[in-house]
Amino acid sequence: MNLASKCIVLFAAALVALAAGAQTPVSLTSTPPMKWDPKVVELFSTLPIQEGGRVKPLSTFAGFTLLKLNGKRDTTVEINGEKRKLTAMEWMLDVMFYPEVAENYPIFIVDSSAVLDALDIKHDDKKRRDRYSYNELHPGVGKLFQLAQEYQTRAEGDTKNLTPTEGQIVDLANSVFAFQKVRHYLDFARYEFDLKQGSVLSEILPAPRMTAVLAKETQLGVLAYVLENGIENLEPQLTPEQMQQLREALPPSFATLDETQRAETATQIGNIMQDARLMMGRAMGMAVFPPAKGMEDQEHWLTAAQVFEHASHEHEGVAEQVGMLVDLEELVRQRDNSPAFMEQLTRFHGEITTLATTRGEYSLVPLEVKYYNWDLLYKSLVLFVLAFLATTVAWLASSKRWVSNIATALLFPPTILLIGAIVLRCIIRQRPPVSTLYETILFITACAVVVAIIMELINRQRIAMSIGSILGAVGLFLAYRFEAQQGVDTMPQLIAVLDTNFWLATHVTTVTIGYSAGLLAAAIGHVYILGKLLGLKRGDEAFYKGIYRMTYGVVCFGLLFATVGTVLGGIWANDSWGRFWGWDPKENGALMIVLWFLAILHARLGGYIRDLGVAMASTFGAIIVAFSWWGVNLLGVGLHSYGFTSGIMPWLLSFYVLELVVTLLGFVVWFQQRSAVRSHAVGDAPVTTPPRKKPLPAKAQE
Amino acid sequence: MKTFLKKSFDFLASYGFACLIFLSLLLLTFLGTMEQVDHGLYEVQKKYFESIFLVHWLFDTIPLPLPGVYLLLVLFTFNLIAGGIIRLRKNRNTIGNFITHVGMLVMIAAGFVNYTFALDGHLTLAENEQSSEFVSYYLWEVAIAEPKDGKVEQELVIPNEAFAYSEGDGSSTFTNGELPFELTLSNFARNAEIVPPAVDPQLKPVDGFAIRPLPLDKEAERNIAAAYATVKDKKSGETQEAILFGFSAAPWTAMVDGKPYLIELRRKHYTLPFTIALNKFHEESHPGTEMARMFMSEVTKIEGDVAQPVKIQMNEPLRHKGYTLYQASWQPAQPQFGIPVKSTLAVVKNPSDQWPLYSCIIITVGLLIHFTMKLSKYLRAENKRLAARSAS
Repeated sequence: MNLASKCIVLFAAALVALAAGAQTPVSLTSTPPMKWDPKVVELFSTLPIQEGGRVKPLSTFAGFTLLKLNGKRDTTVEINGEKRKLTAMEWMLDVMFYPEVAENYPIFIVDSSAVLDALDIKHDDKKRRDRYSYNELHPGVGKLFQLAQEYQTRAEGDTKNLTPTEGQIVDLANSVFAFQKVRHYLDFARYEFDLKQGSVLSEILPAPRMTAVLAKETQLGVLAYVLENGIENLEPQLTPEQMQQLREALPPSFATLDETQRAETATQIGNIMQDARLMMGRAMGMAVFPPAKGMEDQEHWLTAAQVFEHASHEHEGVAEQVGMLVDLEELVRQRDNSPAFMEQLTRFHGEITTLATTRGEYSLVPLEVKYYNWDLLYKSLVLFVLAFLATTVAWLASSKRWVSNIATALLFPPTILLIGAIVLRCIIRQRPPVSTLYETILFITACAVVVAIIMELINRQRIAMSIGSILGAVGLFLAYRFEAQQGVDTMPQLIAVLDTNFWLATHVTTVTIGYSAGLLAAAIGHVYILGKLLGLKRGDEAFYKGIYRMTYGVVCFGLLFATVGTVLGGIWANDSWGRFWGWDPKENGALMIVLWFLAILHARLGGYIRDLGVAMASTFGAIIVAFSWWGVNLLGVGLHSYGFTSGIMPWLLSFYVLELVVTLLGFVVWFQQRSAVRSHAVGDAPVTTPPRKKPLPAKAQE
Repeated sequence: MKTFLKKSFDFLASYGFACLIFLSLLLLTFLGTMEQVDHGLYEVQKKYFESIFLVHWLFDTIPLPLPGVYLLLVLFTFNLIAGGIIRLRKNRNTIGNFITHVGMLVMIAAGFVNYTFALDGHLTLAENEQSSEFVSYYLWEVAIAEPKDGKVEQELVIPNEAFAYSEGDGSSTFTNGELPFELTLSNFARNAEIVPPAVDPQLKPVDGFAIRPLPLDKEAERNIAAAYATVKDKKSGETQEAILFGFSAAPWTAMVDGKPYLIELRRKHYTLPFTIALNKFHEESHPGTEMARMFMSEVTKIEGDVAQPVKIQMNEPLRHKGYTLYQASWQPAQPQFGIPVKSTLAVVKNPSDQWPLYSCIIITVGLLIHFTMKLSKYLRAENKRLAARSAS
């Protein structure tokens, strides 16, 4: 969708939402249950919907919606003085079935009070960065959408053209819009038309509901037509058969209506039809209804609004879906009656899943629900932190080998969980492990940890296990933060050029292993530099030689994968874009990593750098890897537009500075070593570093 | 002299020189990447990656002369051959190294062949259209034709390189024995718009219009060239003037000696040794989104009497007779203007098309051999060390 379309949609939605204030649904005063029945939550969680081009569980949609609004997947709210902790699915159930209550939940995170100032919303009792409820924001919603539209038009699709406050206003408008789509989705089911008992309309409409209006839309239309034109005036224009049909279509009491009642009825029909249109307009947020049997070639699932639209135009093939709308109406009405609610829900869930299963689109939905319920990545993060604590203990109890063994063993569970999560994602997506920026974080972390464990098992120096636990924890924390910051589905559909599992499995995985190696080498380089600086294992040159060997080995490993990955990327580009190499920023980033690895290895071979130099160069390599991995995605130019991202610049700059500082600290170590050598020369201090050798001629090198 | 040559060779073959090249390439790649944000790929590619020397402006104020990537790659080739192949000690320990360096050499050769001999452009067709010509994205040419019975059988072409002297305030005159006139091109602008002269009194008016040069677009293919053309009758010396604009719907018709001549500034045309007819174009989005899932052109490749149906889609190009045709983009139909849906196929002729693949295989084998040997050596040393530690 282009920017202009987005603006139109956004604005239209805003108007619909604002109109919602004028058309209040039936008054509902009860509160949601303190705890939703787990079976209800499970049924809703496993309800499939089509969103972002794929079929996914409703719980996934709920999770990412709340994440976008709230910055996390759960929320704690207070009702009648009692606190309730809600999962994303429970929150969404509250919003759909108890919207009048859920509008008071403080779930909109606003990063700066300047946003509220711009919207003329009071915030005296709030912090600068705080959470707000929909009702608190409501007075400024009109202005919010107006400003967001203005800014988006000005930005021309590039958020770099906006100030931070303007960007936050656009984000908030998107969040409010996302909330409104869910909040108003079941308005049609809540709505009751005002039908007087015994009135002519009550003879046509069996119930004052949307689906009843839909079923009798033609009859209502005929009645409205007759009321407007007068049956006497129609007689000359119609054949006797048509007149007979017309009379049969009219309710029995029609003949008894006087002029005033006829006028009132006509107005009432007009109001009902207008309200029905409004309700339909609000039910466009979620595509819950699979196309009917016999329409297997139809890929688009339907929203409730589309079902109404099709039914209203008497399109064939939506009878089953209209029945489901009746179920939804009943579901909303039974919200406070647990057994009836469960019975209705079970029926609705069964109907939807049966249709989805018939189409072959349901089999992976329960697995995805489990993937998010198990929360393997969070558990892995916690276990990596525990593993790190264990490695710290192992360092403190350095003489006891069994402590180190336990610490190393503790690295296995989180690694297995992480790999398990990646494998599950592969199964759910039917894709190789890396196809999005988010997945690069998981894969790079897993690779770094696995290589660290292997190194630890080889050399038993406790360095690799410490680094493995730190990288595991940091990587998963980064994944967690990135997911929350982006607030969008991390299993999206892929654009045409990426729709190739062969190249995703070869180029993308190899080049990300190269990134992983670069970061791991940098992490080991940190240990060398900071260890020397802080006097860790002072005088134990074998210890530092071991670190050097690890760094060197990982650089070699990284060179292999970065080079092969980069060349494979070129071959892929040659097949998709018609050129092997186009100096695109993402390609250049990968090339820079290869060049840096080559420079390190050749400088070492030539004797221009030694152990400390390799550590410093590897540490600096982290900046190059970060630039290639994240930095080029911020430039907003090039053919790899599917990887563009935003909002991470401050973090990235901080990382660059940090790595530069650690690299430069290497010079302090160098000066220290030089001083030590000079001191030794005059007999003042023992030497810990052998003097620099002259580089061997190339001929003698291997 | 011998010592000098030996020293030069030693320097070219040295690790130090290799490091210097790697770091220089790294720096240029970084600078070129960053500069793409403001100047686009095409200009940056010319300035940084296809140049011998360049001047980079640090913070837009301090000039920093640097070697271009082209020069660096030439030097790297010397270094690779001298140090990585000739001087490398050949034994079983260095076999992986040697293979890797050979693979690198194949890669550089592929790049050189591509840079020197490759042609690229695009072929844009509506459904049921066919063509055996494709056009350049960036290069321009002036075509002169004498229509006979309303048909053009032969064209004389002034190539892109000849415009260099016509740029800015310059002008160049072209002639040919078959033509009864001389053609002078002046004020050639690689990106321009046609405006009424009143917009800027300094512009040169011709037939009520003038060329106003524009800054180059970051997306080089969006640039539209323009030039003033003067036709001078060789016999009479009479002159006619016109504006040639790359976006004109039709060529300029100059009447010389009673005959019409069509003169056109257009994107450079190349001829394919076969014809491509577009039968049907398909575009699919993921359901409920506008995210493209698939583009595909159903075409017929026509060669003499042989017609072969082929499907060209993302990641699945058509390769034939040294040319490769890729699904590059498409233009939606605009029924209100009578414009049908069009498919754009990128066309590339690159003699080294598959060399990178061979190079990749060679490099992978070389690196695997080399690093496996290194790893096994490391593992043996570690085992020895751990055994010694256990014993103590």
